[in-house]
Amino acid sequence: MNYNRFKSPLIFFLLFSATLIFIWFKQGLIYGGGDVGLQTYNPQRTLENAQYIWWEAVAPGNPIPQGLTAVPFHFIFSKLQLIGFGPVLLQATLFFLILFFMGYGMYRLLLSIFNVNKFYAILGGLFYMINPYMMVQVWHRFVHSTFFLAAALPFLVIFWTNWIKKGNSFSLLLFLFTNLIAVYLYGTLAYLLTVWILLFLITLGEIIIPFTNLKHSSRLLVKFLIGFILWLLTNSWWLVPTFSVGPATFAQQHTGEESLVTLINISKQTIIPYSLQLVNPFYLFLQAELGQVYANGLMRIIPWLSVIFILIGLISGLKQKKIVLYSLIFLIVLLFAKGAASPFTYPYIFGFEHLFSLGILRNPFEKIGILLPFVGSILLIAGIGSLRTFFSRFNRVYYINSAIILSFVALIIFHWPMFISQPFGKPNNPGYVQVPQSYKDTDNWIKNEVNINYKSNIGKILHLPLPLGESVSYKWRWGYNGLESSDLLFSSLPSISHGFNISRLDDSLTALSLSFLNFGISNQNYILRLLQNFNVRFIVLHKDINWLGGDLYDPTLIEEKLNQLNFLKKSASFEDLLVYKVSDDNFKPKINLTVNYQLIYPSNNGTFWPWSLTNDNLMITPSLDDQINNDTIDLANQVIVFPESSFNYPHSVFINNLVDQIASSEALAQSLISEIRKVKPILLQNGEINAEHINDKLISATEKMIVMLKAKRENSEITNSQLDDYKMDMETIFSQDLRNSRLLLYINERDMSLFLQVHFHSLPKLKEGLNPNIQIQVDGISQYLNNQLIRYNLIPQYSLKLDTKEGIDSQKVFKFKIPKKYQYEILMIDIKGSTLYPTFLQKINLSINGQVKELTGQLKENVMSFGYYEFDSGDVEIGYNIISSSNLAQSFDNLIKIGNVTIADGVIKVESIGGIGYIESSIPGARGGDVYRVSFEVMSQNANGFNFQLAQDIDNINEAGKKVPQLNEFINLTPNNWQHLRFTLNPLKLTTQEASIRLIVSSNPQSLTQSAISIRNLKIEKILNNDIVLKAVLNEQNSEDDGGQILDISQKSPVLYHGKVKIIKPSFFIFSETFHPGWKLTLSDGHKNFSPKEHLMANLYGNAYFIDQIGEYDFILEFEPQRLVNRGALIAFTTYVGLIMFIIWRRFRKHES
Amino acid sequence: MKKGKIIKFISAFFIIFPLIFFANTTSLANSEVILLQNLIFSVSLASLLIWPYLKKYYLILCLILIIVMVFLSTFKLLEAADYAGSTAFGIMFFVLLIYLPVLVRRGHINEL
Repeated sequence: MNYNRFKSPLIFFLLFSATLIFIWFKQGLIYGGGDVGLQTYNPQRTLENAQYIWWEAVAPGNPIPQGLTAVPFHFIFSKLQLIGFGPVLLQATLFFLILFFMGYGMYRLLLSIFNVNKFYAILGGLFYMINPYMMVQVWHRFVHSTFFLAAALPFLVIFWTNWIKKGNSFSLLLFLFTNLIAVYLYGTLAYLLTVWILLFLITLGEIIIPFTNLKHSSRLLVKFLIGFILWLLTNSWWLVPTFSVGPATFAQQHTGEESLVTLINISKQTIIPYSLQLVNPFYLFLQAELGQVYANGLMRIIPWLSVIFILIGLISGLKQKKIVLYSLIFLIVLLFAKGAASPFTYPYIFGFEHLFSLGILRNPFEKIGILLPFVGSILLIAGIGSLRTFFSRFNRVYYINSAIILSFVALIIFHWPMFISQPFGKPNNPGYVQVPQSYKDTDNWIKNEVNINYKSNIGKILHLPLPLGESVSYKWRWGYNGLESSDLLFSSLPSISHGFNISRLDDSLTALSLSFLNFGISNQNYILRLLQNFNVRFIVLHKDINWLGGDLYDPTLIEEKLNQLNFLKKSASFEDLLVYKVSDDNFKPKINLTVNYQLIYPSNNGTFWPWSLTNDNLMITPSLDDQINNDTIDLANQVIVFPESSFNYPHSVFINNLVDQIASSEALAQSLISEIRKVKPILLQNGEINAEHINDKLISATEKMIVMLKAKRENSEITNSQLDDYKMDMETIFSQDLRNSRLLLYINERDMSLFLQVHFHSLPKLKEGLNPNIQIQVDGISQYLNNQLIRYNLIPQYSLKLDTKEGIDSQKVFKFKIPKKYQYEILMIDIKGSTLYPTFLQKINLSINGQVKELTGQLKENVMSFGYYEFDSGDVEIGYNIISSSNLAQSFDNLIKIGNVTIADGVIKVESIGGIGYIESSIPGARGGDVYRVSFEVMSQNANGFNFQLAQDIDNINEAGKKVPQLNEFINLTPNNWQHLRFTLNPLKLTTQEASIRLIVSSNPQSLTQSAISIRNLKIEKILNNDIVLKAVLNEQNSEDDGGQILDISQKSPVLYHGKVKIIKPSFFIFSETFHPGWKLTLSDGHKNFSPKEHLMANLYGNAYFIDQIGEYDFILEFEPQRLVNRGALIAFTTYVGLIMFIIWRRFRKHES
Repeated sequence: MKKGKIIKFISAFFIIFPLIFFANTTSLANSEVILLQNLIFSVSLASLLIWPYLKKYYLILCLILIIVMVFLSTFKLLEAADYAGSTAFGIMFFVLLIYLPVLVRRGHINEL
């Protein structure tokens, strides 16, 4: 071995990497945030979490099987942490190693592929490290799995190629070992495809280019299969758990249609011109996250320099045996990485429409595009080589040498963030993170408390305000925006600190979070109950959180409330973090027994929270798959049934009137079509391909209906084929789940119901006077439409025969699934503001399965009870007229007035002064979830239009310090013409405590004439949107709630609990971790083992097991999928040992022979 | 002979066009430009099948289209650049398909 051959490039890449690291870390701060948070902040803690599928630290727990891939990396780095590496040194070390292996790996790969001068191999390594894709898509995106992929790829290809070509088993071992060290890359599951697409193409290339004979091809195929199978075996410890446990979670987090829309929108940025340049235009040009300089024309030319060399290499590579494969691979990868961009758009879309699992490639440029710079580096050097050969014929090599040098200088200039500052954040916001010392102090304090006082029954930390998504923003020294990371920052106890994008769980966490906002001191027992159900021991209030603009509330507001709750005590304070402790008397342990329970059937909508309706008892929800035992229902204290679904829809009387007008007026008919049509350009722009298809069919069907109505009006014939075409359009509209279609994000459900009801009510009008055959056909279509509208909750099953007074054009319908026949109390919940409505809502007409009942209500706290009604098991439909409150708009004197605002004869005139004028009316008593309708008449004087704004207390503040309303719409006006406008606003954000409406007119401050608008009859009405719930009280509470005792409990790990339990009455064994069928409870009395038959959801998120056998038992509570990890680890270890022994044996035999 | 080749070319075109249309057409792009691109792809693939010696000229065409793409892209005319670039690479894909038998036989191309 010629050592000198390797030494100087090795030193070059070491020095180059070290230089970059020195530049990036000269401030002595770490980088963090984004999608990955603080990956290298505390490897020891991450290792503790990641080695188990069940992440207890991210309370109330969730399986994250792909987290297993983080184990090897964090194991190694936890050792560095033990010897004193702090977060900065850990991150710098990681980045150094990644950079070095990228460059040196590509250098070694180039040497292995073809005979190339060392200098050019170094250039290739440099290009692989420094190119637009690596700068933006790898470093700037900051996804750590991509770092590992970029570093590992060259070595994976070197070792795999050696194995395939030469059958070198030691290379196969090195390949598998590289996979083990770099397994973190598979934390992004799509990289499985990235790696194996590349390896497959390399193998296929070896087989067919050229094709020698069948024997050789078979041998290569066998080697591929051996390599693949061994890879599967050595990775089974994370592969099997991920694909066993993962798919159910993934399906809850993403739908196929969402993935398709993402693909289409991202593909607009991965068009060929950008993909070839290896550029992500969103970050580099649109958002200019690395600086405005990239808008400069000269900067835009630079990436093309390397593209020229790559394309020359691609073409010239076809003539070279060693490179031809890479030329073909580059072209194939380019076609994959561009996604649904041209050319050949449809195959990708077709695949996404029919294969849910392809959704992992919804950003193909990110997932597969890394192969472009990888193969591009090889072709770049091939291109340089070809050019040198060409120019050397004319003794003009210095031309090409100069071009190469200039190109690389230009490349370095283009990648200036990597050499002058860093590529992670933005020029004015470098992405530094400095976690305040208060976090460590708080964690240490809690740890100390736990060690002294709570060795067992430790509980959880609840972090408030609680982000409902996965990301958070903090006002730290350098700010922080990214993945919420309390599970890393607080190692003392598991943290309830963010949502999971799983609707049932997030709904319960929302209830927990908002309980502090919604419940007062007088009903603090509800808050306590929630804290007990979630096994909370401590609350950490974050006063350093950026709460505006999202779903959070003001922490200072909550601080006042927390201070007043008598079961909480403020125990410590560290700068912006306050620690409250739940008193020991009021704390509920993670595992407990209970006899009394109530059955809750929650809504799928996630807008109702049962805690205000229920008593203190355990809440049991039958799981989705199992039917609950009838006896279990009968023994419950009470049953509370929330609507399975609810919807608003326009009243049929209103629709019939509309249809009559449409039938007689062409203009109104066209106006209806244009309402449906106006959504189309937005759908196209947003890549909503499925929604646009449905919208097209709706337009087409409506046009056909209007033609038929016109024919009816003119006494012309309506043919069978017209009706057949019409029915086909309708069938296409309903061929997919319309209720879950993304079209409903653009056309609200009420309008969709209106459009389709127009069709439904037009059909009987067509029928009159037609020949019997046609009439039968029309009846058939009518029946079909009726069934579909009921099925998709666009009309009720039973016609709501409620009186329609003026101003009522919509109704709200609730669909219930009654589990068993009982007397149910009909309740309307969240009754704040009932005095705003006629009769204070104490008299209401409800339609129950089509029968109208006039009911009298009785107010009980925040709930209106409308008496008892017996319901059979099965479907029940209840509806009411959507009525509006009295006018809540402020009087003229109480309006906020800016500009020149006057009133005369009830008309308010708003004139801009200095460019702006507006009136603002607060909405008294506005709260989260409220729906308001705003109506007024407006006339313009010199104004093109005005802005209509909804201002809320939770609106974000921009850089200029001004609040930015989330609703701010410009309305065009025709001058000197009164226009009547009406808006029904979306429900206010759940954390809203104050809201107001603004009408703003603006003009050019330099203009001589100021704009003005006149407003009259301003109304702000609260729309009745309250929900109906059914409650049946079955049994008295058992005075002794304890069904037994937990005699002993020992948590062996986050996935295993042992203990002893004594059951004196049939009871529920409650385990306060997120419900998952993988949690198995096994009981043993020393003679026999058994598991409870029923495993149900407890307290709307946790686990409950019904034990009806009296006695004393040892129990094991285990998350069984963890066994897959243990088995997989054994298989992997055995495979490695087997392969090593095989290699040694072969070497031994070779040596002997 | 020439007449026979033209008939083969026309037949090939009519077989290939629907396949290209299926693979290359969605509602997301300008339908007229996509139709033109489909025609170009179908003509190029059909002609390459019938007259393989045209490979070199199509590669030159690809190069010209790529140069046009670079210019258009530099002047931020991205839609046009995309059409030029996607046409170039679509044609290049077909050219390499035609070269595939040579590559499978020899492992590289002697002459373009």
